[in-house]
Amino acid sequence: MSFAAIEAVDFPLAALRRLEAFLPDAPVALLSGESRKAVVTMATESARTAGVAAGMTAPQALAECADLRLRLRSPAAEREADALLLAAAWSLSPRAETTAAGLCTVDLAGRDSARLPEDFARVGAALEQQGLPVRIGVAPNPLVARYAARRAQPVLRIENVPSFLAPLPVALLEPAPEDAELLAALGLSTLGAVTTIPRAAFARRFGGRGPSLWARAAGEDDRPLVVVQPPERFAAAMDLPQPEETLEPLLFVLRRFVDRLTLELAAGSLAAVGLRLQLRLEDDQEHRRDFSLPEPTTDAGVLFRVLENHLATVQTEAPVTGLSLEAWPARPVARQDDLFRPGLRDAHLFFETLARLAAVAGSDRVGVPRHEDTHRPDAVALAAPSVELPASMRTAAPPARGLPLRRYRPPLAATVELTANLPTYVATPGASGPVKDRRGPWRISGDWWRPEAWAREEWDIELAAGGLYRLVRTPGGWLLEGEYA
Amino acid sequence: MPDRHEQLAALRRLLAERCPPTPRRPDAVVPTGIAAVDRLLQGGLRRGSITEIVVAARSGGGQLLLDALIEAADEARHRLLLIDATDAFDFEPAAGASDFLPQLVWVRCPTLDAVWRAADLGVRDAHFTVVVVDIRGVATRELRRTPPGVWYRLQRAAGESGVAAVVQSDVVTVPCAQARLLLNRSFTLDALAAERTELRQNLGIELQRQRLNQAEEVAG
Repeated sequence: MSFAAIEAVDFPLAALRRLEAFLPDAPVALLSGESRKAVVTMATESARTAGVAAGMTAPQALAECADLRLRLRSPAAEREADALLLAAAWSLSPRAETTAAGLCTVDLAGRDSARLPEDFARVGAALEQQGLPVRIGVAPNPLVARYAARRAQPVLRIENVPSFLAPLPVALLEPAPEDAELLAALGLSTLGAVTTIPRAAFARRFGGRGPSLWARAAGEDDRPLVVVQPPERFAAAMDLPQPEETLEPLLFVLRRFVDRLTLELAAGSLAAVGLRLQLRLEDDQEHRRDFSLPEPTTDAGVLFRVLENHLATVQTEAPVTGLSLEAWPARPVARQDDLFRPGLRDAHLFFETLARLAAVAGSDRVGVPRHEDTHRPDAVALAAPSVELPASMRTAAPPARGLPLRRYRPPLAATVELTANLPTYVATPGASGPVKDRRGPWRISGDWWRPEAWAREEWDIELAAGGLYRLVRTPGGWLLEGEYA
Repeated sequence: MPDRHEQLAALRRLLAERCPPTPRRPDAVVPTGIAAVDRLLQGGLRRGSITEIVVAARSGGGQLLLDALIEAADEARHRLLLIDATDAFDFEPAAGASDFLPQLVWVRCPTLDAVWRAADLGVRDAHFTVVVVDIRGVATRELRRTPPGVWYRLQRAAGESGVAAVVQSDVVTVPCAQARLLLNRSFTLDALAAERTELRQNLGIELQRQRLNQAEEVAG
C-alpha cells in the first residue's frame, strides 16, 4: 500500500493570493488579527527578502517594506483552495481525504506505480498554474507521506521509512508546549532519538500523551482515510474582500472557479453542458445568467470565454460584492463525425462567435429566423442555431413567387391620396410620388379573440419614379411597410 | 519592334509556362444560384474576398439576390451570416415551405458601428461560408464617415478565413471590393406574380469590376 500527501506551500497565503487579482506579484503578509497587537504570521518571499519576518507587528513590517499588503486569513479563499486541492487529488484516485487545511491524502492502492511520477508532475504543474504550489510526499502510510511532503521538493517518495524518519526534527510531531519542553530537556531533538527509547519507558515519562507521541515519531499510522465523495453539484461561490466596480477582479476569480470546476468535472469523467453565473450586488440586487453550451466540455478556456464575453456587456447598478458559478454536468460527447452531415468543425468556437455577435448587437438580435405559428405579419422570432444543419426541405415546397420584401422597421407613416378608392399618390419620408400601378386590396385580420386583434388592408403599388412597395391601411392610418426588392 | 500589347502577351505566355497556375480549388468560389451572376463572376462569389453588389435601382433585385444566396446555402448545406444594418430582412415562408431558415444567422444591428464590429467578427469565423453585410438604406453621409480602414480590415480577415464576403449597398462604397456588380433595372408590378426562379434570370445586372489574382489572370 502507498499513500500520497499533497500539501500546499504556505497554504493560507497562497489561498488568499490566488483569488485577489492584484496580489500575486505584490509582497504580502498575513496578520494574526485585527487588533493593534496583531503580528505577522506568514509572508511571501518578496516580503521576507525586504526584511519582513514572522512576529513583527504591522507598523514594524511596513517599516521594512513600504509596498507590503497586509491581509487577514480568508476562510472563503481557503475553502476554495481546499476544494481545488481535493479536485486535483481525485485525478490521482477517487479515495482521497482532506486531512487538514491545505493537505490532502490519497490512497494509491491499485495505481500503476510506473505512471505515478508523470501524474504527480501533472498535478503539481496544474496546481502551480492555478496559484497553489504544492509538495507531494509518497510513503507506505498517510503519516509518513505527510512528513515526506514537508521535505519534498516538490516530490519525495519514501522507501526506507526508519532511515527517513531518524534525522527529522521533533517539531514535526507538533508536540504540546510542555512535551516540547520535556523533549528538549531530555535532549531528544530528532525522531530517531525518540524511538531509541523503548515505547513503555517513553510512555511512563510523558504520561497519557506518550504512546501517541512515540507512535508518531515511529511513523506508525494505520487509520483508514476519511474518504470524501466527489461532488454531485459543481459550484463555487465567494464574497469579495471589497465591492468591485471593474471587470478584471471578477474575471480573475471566475477563472479560478472555472479551473477548479473543470478539474472536478474531469475527475468524475463529466463535462459542463451549461453554466449559471450569479453576481451579488451592493444594493442587495442580483444579476443572474444561465448559459447553455453547444456541447459538453471540460475546456476551461471555452467556459471562461463564455463568461468573459457576457460580462463584457454587463453594466450593474451597484458594485459587485460576491459571485457564484455553477456548472451543470453531463456525459462528454463521444461521436464520430459524419462525412455527409455538415456539422461544425469547432462548435464552441462557433457559439463563441455568436456570443460575441450578441454582445455587439444585443442578445435578442442574433439567431436563426423562425416564423411563428400565426398569420400576423412580421411574426419572426430568432432561435439559437443548431450544431448540425438539417437536410434541405425546399424541394417539397411549391416555388416561391414575387420579389422578397425589404421591411421598414418601424413602417413609415404615409399620406395617401385616393381616387375612386384607389391609391394614386403616396407621400412618405422614404418614397413619394404618383402611383403608376397597383394591386389590391387584400384584407386580412387575425387574433380577433385576443386583445391584440389586428386587421389591415394591403396594397402592392408601383411608383411612377420606379419602385415596388407594400402599402398598408390600418385602423391607425396608412403605412408604407416595405419595398419589394 | 513589337508593340507593348504584344510584349505583355509574350510575357504572360512566358509566365504561364514557367509558373503554371495552381489549380483552382473546386470550392474557391461559392455559386450564387443565379446563372447570370455566376457567369459574370466566373463561377460565383470568390472565397477570401469582398464582392460588392450595388443596388442602384429601386426594386432592383438586391433582396432577390440575397434570397438566392440563402437558398444556395440551404442546398449546399453551408451557413450564411447576414449582418443587417437597417433591420430590413423579411421572412415570410410560402405555403408549404419550412418555417425557419437553419442555414441563416441573422444579426439585426442597432447601429452602424455594430455593423462594422459584427462584420469583423463574422468574417473571421470560417464556419460561415458567406457573410453578407447589407448596408442598403444607410444614409450616404453616414457611410462617408466610415474610415476606409474598415473595408481593408474586412478584406484581410476574409482572406485569412476564406469566407466569401458580400456587401450590398445603394452606392459604390467598398474601395477594395474584388468584384462589383451593379443592379440597375427596376422590376415592374408584374414581377410580384412571377416565379422567383424566373425573376432571377431577368435581373438587370452589370459587372463593374473584377480583379483576379495573379494565378487566375495567368490562367485566363
